[in-house]
Amino acid sequence: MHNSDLNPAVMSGLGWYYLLAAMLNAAAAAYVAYFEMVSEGASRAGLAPRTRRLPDWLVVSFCTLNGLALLAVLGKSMIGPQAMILAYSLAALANVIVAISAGADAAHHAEAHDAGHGVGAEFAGPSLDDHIPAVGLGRPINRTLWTLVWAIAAVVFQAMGIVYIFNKEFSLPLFIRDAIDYVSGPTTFFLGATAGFAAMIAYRRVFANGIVAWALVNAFLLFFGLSMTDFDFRDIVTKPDNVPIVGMIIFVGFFTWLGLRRAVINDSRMAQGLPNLEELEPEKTLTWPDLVYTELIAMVIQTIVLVIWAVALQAPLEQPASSTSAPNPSKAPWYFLGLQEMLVYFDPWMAGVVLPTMIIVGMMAMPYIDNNKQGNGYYTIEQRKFAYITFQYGWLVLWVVLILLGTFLRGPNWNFFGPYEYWDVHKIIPLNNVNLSDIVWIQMLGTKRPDSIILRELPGIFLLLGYFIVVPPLLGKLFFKKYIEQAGLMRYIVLATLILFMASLPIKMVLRWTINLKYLVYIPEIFFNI
Amino acid sequence: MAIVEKITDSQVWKSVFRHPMPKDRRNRVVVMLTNFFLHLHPVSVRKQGIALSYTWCMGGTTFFLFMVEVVTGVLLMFYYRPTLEHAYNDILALRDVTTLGILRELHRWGAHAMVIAVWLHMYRVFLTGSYKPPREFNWVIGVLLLVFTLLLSFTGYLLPWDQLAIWAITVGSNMARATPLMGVEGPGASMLKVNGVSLITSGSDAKFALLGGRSVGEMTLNRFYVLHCVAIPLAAGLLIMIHFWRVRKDGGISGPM
Repeated sequence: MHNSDLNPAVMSGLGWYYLLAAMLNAAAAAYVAYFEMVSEGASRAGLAPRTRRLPDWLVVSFCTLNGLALLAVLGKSMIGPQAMILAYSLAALANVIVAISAGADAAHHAEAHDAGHGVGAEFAGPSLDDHIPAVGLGRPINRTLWTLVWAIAAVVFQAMGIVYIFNKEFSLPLFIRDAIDYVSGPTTFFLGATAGFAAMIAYRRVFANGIVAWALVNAFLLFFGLSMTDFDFRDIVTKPDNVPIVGMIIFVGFFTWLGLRRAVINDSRMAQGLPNLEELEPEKTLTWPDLVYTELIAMVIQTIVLVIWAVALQAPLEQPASSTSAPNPSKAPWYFLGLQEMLVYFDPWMAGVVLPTMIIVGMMAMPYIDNNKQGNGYYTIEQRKFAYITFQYGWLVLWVVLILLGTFLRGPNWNFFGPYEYWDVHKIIPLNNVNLSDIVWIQMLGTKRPDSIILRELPGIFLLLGYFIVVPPLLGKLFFKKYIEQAGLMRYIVLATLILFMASLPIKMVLRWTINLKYLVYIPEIFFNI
Repeated sequence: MAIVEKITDSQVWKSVFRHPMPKDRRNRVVVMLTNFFLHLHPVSVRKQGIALSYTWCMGGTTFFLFMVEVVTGVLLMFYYRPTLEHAYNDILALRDVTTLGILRELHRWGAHAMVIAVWLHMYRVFLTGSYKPPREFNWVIGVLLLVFTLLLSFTGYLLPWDQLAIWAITVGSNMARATPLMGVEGPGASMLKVNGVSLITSGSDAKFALLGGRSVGEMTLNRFYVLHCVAIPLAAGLLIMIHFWRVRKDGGISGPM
């Protein structure tokens, strides 16, 4: 069931959204075309001065056109109903001019650059016109090519925006939406996130590259813009309390990339015997003014952002509290939705009490069980692979991704819904989960379950004890020999216990998906179900 | 200009600011030592330590948002009454008619932003290995501050007393019912008996202690109000002071050892 997808307000919103996307790409094109591209920690010594400059006429015309657009918006009441169209056209023109001139100038610079290095002329070494990549991030990029790519992206986004602003309807085709809904499910979503995480770690050098990161940003912009044409997607994403989560995705994504990039650069630098980025400026500077002014500027910017946010978006307030009519779904605050998602796989005493306690205790124990002296005070992955991967998996996949799942993809009765699926209260998902005791006694042995509780649950208890008593020594023998020698047995026991608790969630997930397991141990008489 | 000089030369001014404008090196040092608010900082810092691409500015952002929450929260307390009769209508009035009702928007969005800022601050501290010696204990305090931030946000969620509020708290507090040994539906609780009488009942378990009743009601509103406005902010404030003090004592902003 699909509600009517587009209305004038949404289309105008999308028009301005694509204007912003086009502006970002025009800026990227101009950056690659005109600016110095000496990446972090790449040496500037011995570089010839640069010859390319952002042309004044471009800056002036961009600012003038956008200024006129702002005036048109402000003078809406005087100009009449066409004011917004006029403002939009002016701003769009500014974007297109930047994109086109950046592309043209990049091509011109490439020719001039090649001529300068041509036959007869002596090669004078690189200049600031060349891209000097950071150590470890591969070869210089082709500036002409990438200027053109981002310029074309800007023009395409701008064209999409113009389509919407002139009221031409375009929605994500239904068959694509249905296909995405069809393949999405908790299993594909979680496994996809895990696979993406593994790829990010394995191909971190590629991911750290600015070009790749910007391509991902564009992919996200396009996905988000197209998805907003869907009524059901829009309905969930624009709930006021869900807006901070969209902000969280952007921030966590950006900082994950930034941290990973600096770690990749540092690892390559240290492999070559160079000092890492954090050691490049060892000297001290006075707190007043360098730090105090930074703090002041940060506070001013944050105040402005917060006030704009507060003016633009009203805080949610629903119907007065009523203890008789429960909303469906009833959701905890968004930052606890990862815990609520665990309720699918564990009983409340595990998902709501034991595992959160283990998360907190585990985080507190971290500095005491991580006895690796390297990687203190700088970004690195190579020097602390185990700590990095364990923490990042717990944080990005088991926390952030589960929050996204719980917020956007869990609907009435906590059933899973695809991103473009209508939240149907009557959706029925067959529950055919079985307990381990049923699997062992009824399905495998073909008898009836024993009456004695202990005997009935013996297989599960056996497995559980094995998990917590047999696995740690086994892991210790196989993988943690050196760690136990250095850190001692006590630290290892704590570490192993924490890891086993952390792993219990994905393990339970896999058991649910493969053999429909409900509980390993099921003793409802004392509420002891695992 | 004469008036400016007259003011800055006056006894009153000099009693407040104990040094001239920090325009030269000496006074830039003195200002950090004599000003109460600035003395949180050392006189000088490592250049890389304050680079934005290194610190992400998230610890300071968290503290800034905490102060925003304190100021807007105190102002909101002048208006809002935590009773079944008034709570919802007060919030409704803040939204629709009250002058400066935008304080509620600032408070709520600031709270969401603070949760995200705390996470990102801890993320940065992890990625740079800054929890390693000698900063182990400050990381522990930081984890406690994370817990307090989430609890502050959680207790504040109930105060508007709308459907979103009570059902989110109901979902959250149902977990307490399942606390091992201490919740009525927790594993092992039914085994705690004296002469056949259960010690843990729905009137004496962890959920009851949290809600002040068997379900979310007026006592819950009162309890969460006090926790939100007094108890947790005081505890968090104390830990923030220790956190900042320890940053200085443990060697300032982290960097390569």
